[in-house]
Amino acid sequence: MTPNKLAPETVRQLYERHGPALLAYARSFAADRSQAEDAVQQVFLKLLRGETETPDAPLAYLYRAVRNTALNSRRTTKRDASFDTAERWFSHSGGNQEAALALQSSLAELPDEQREVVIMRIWSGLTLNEIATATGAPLNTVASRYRYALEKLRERLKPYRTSGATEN
Amino acid sequence: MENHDQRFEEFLREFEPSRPQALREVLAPTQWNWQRLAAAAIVIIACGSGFWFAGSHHASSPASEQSTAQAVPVTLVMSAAYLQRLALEDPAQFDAALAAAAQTTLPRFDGPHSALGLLAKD
Repeated sequence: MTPNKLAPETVRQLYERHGPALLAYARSFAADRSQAEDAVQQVFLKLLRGETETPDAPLAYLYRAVRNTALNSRRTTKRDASFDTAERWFSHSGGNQEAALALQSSLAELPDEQREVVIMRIWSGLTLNEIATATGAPLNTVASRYRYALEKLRERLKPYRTSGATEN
Repeated sequence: MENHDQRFEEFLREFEPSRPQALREVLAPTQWNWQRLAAAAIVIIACGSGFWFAGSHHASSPASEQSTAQAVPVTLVMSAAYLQRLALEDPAQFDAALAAAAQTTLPRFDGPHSALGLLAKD
């Protein structure tokens, strides 16, 4: 069986497409933003240099690798994840930075496994099936986590939704 | 309920996660090679200028002048090609070659006909 290595161009495309979501994901495990950036960069650089073999599902690998790298860095520095409100994980396309900050703190409050599903689904565009493959959790479990996470976020972000987007 | 979730998903997608920095370290090896090539070129030019300047002030016999004039360019051309290849293919050997070349091919500045020695006196 030949080692499965990604072409540099594919790695760069993955970085362009999923780098932001992976950074937000890493940020929830890392002690600070620079540690999260380092974790994402380390994982992609290993792929680019061919230092690691990738499985058939590169995205699943990326999420697992970023999570492990961020957690290892946090253990090394012996610092817990801190969420500086001056730091922006997200920007809002309509310029509502207050809502972006609310989303950030709401995500930080979610249990890891729920936050993971939301980030993969919303900002990496994975289907629930793909997330189940990536996380190794049963599809029903993934669907439940997603549902619970959305409910909490919906409740927390209710004040920031425009009237047109608010459902009753 | 599905529509209810879809609308909320759309709302969430109005938020964009901040972008990580470009993978700049990946570009570094290429830049690094160009830096090494530029360094090699500077060394070669410096060596060539030194030899040329020393040769033009050398008060030796016509025969020795002729042999120096013939030998230096051949050495330099071979060194340049060799160093360029090393810089691209094997940076570690390139460093070693540069260090060795510096021991033997850089112009002496303490000799009686040294160009740098003459400049220092001026």
